[in-house]
Amino acid sequence: MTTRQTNLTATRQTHEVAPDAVYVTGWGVASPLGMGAADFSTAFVEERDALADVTAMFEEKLPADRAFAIPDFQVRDHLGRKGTRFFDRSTALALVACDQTLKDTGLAVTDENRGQVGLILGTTSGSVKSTSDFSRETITEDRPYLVNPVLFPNAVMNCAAGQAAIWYGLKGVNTTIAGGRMAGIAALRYASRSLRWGDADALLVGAVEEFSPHNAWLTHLPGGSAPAGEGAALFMLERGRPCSRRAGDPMRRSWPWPPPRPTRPTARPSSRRSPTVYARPCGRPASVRAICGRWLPGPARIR
Amino acid sequence: MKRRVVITGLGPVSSIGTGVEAFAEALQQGRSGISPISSFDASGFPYRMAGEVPDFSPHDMLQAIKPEEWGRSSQFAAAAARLAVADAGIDPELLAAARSGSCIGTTGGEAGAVERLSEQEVAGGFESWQAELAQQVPSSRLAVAVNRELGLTGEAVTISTACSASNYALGYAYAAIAGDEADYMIAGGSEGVYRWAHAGFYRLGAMAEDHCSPFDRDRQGMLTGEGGAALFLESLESAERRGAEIYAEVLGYGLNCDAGHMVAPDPVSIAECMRRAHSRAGVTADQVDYICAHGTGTPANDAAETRAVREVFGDSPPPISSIKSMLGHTMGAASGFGAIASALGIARQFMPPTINFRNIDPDMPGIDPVANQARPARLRVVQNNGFAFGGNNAITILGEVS
Repeated sequence: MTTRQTNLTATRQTHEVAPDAVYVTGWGVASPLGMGAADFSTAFVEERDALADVTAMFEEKLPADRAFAIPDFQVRDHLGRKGTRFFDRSTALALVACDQTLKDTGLAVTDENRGQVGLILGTTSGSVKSTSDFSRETITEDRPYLVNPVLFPNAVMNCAAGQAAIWYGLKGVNTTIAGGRMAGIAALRYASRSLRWGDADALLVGAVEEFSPHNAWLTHLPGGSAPAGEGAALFMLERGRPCSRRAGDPMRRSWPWPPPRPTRPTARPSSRRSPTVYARPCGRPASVRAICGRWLPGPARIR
Repeated sequence: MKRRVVITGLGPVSSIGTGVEAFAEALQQGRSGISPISSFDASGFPYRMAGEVPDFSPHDMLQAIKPEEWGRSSQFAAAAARLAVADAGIDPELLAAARSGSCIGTTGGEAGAVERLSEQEVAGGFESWQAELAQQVPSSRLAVAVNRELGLTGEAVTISTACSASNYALGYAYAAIAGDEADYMIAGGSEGVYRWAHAGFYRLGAMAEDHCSPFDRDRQGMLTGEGGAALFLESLESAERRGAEIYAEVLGYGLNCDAGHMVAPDPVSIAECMRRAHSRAGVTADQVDYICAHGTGTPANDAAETRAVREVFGDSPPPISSIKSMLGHTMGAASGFGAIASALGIARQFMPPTINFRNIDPDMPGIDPVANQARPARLRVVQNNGFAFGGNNAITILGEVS
């Protein structure tokens, strides 16, 4: 017990803003509520319902007609046609969220820093559809080995993280964590340790899940009452004082610790949206603990 | 202040032996675990060999979890962990009451369950899916199975960085203890043999017909394998306090990503990963006495790996052998078995051999693969390589406790 108490004290002391602390400098989402931080925040504050009609998405029978999916999502709309043809949905969603996050954070990945920039991505089991489709071919083809070799990497759980590394030239730590519903939190914990440990300077961190007949049934069969959903959510975590290098950008200035608690809008937002700006976590360095715990829920609204 | 971290328990569940003594003896004798595939109908494949564990008996090995509720990979992980704890000689109740957790690497997770669900779907649609089987699918269950089996309440992390995942897991567990966030950790990996992986590797032209011959001039490719590999980690201070037998110290690890191609290895990036691992472990290349290779036996891997070795170590690199010649490629468990072999090599002073070796490859000059016979040697520092699809390179460095 003594050890544990000592550790708790030590943990509290790390709340001071230190040069080697971990900061959130950007975020991105690909979700049924919107693509990117701005769209997502707007939809979130307006409490939009993301439940969508999914009957036209797949030929296979689904356990329900509606799900938290993005029926019209096409990777080529976001990343173009070139090189994206064989991406499965999970990979595509993860890449779009990476794209959004990198744009949000303003961190340029260059030959000088790419060895220290990486990705920690959570998932339940990767793209079960890709694994199952590949497995299916060993049954349905004339010969069990007549699988499409191009799709082999998709069947493996680290596909999304590996493709994202290729797409954005991230040569640093690249880790896929199979953490089920806790995958995003597990990824944050892993990333926080990696950064403090000096394994990387900047990490894209988050989780991805795709909607497919497979995931819909996997969610439904054990008696899950909520419809399956999909999306990817990523943060950019950086070590040191990332904001200082962007001194000219007022949105990026250092914020004191602890960050002020966000104030929820006092009134429901009206449909008048244009002058509304939402405080983005990217402007506020915060510890990972803050994201996991009390700070993130509810974007603060400032005029 | 980093705490020093040591390995005090080993739990191999493999095609060449289950338990430390059987596994160590097989390594020293250069035994092959390759046999005709029995876990799926391989009759339609031109090549039908793999490194299965036909005598795996989860009912005899597992004390807390019910095997029928868990997939084969989870069973392997939990059984290997149970063995490692027994080998470490630590009181299971003390272990469960401490800050203890697990980190398990895998490529396919419970891909065996996915494979069976795929069969059900082809036969009767998704509505015919068995709920009990569907519940086995989440890959996070591998580490959860370990924690449930041992009653551990700390972290249970499953890392799915394909064929280098065990090294990631070992690195993570090491950092948890070194950083004083855990007292005891189980690290390792587990994997089954899957028909889809067999098909994929065959189709890529990366598979051998019946022998895996890493570093050989005429090597054909890899063979798949299965099993569970677990290592019991604690601080040096803890091991000394309880008078535990120490196999080796974990000195550090290096991780990076090729970010170039999903399946083709990149020697420049692999060399960079080696340098990283050395730097983080506080060793120099000339201090490394032996390299436990990734050594899949594919023409591409072995060429890239040895090129990277020569780039980092120069024209006379230390001996480098591949235990995949005996086990096949156990994918997510592979670098876990490599770590076990490295720890045993340090503790018992030998280098495991590369079996099935016939001819030196003129394109790999200066490479000493420890051909066919284990070799006695005092190993002070060992490098354990793991590379994977997605360009996920992970290398761990183990050493003699000084």
